[in-house]
Amino acid sequence: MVENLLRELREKDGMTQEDLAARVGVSRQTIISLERGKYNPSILLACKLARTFGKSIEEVFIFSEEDLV
Amino acid sequence: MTYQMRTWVSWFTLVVLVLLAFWQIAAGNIGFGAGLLAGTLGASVIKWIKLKQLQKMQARGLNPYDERAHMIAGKAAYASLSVFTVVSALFVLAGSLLGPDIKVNPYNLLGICIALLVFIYVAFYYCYNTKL
Repeated sequence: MVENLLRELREKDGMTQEDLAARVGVSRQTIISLERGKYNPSILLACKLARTFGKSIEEVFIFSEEDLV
Repeated sequence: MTYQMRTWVSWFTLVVLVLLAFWQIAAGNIGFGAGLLAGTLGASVIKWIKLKQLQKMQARGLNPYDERAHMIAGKAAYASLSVFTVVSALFVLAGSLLGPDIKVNPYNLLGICIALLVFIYVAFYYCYNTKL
């Protein structure tokens, strides 16, 4: 699973999980799974999440060399 | 089929089942009719509660049928189909080799198989929803 900085970015912006879920059009459970690193989002969802925080996908989702091989 | 169409079809089906239940009770098949009525009313109540919960979520801007829900439903469907097929095949093999010749009502047997498949699907959905 790809690691991410969703929780840190969300808390920095003062958003709840429900706020973030409503902004990107998913359920709160999906945000919980993403933050726990148990679920990899689709490219569309990853873009929406990155755009919500005003960052690029690579700044939100951390890809290791193993993920890219 | 759109979501709205599916909703109408499911409510229509429940109404038809209630009418069938009353018909069976009137025809003297009270046990079957009462069971069908109780099951249909129970399903209607649960469906109503779920609809209200979904409307509350959607009013808050949340999407209960997002990509994760679709992924889990797909995984649960595949897992339940695989398990059901393998277990049924083993049952058929074991029964054919070792079991006695028994007469069964095919409608009852099919109903039991459908109920088992749905139960297995719900169990897998719960497991995947917890795990992912």
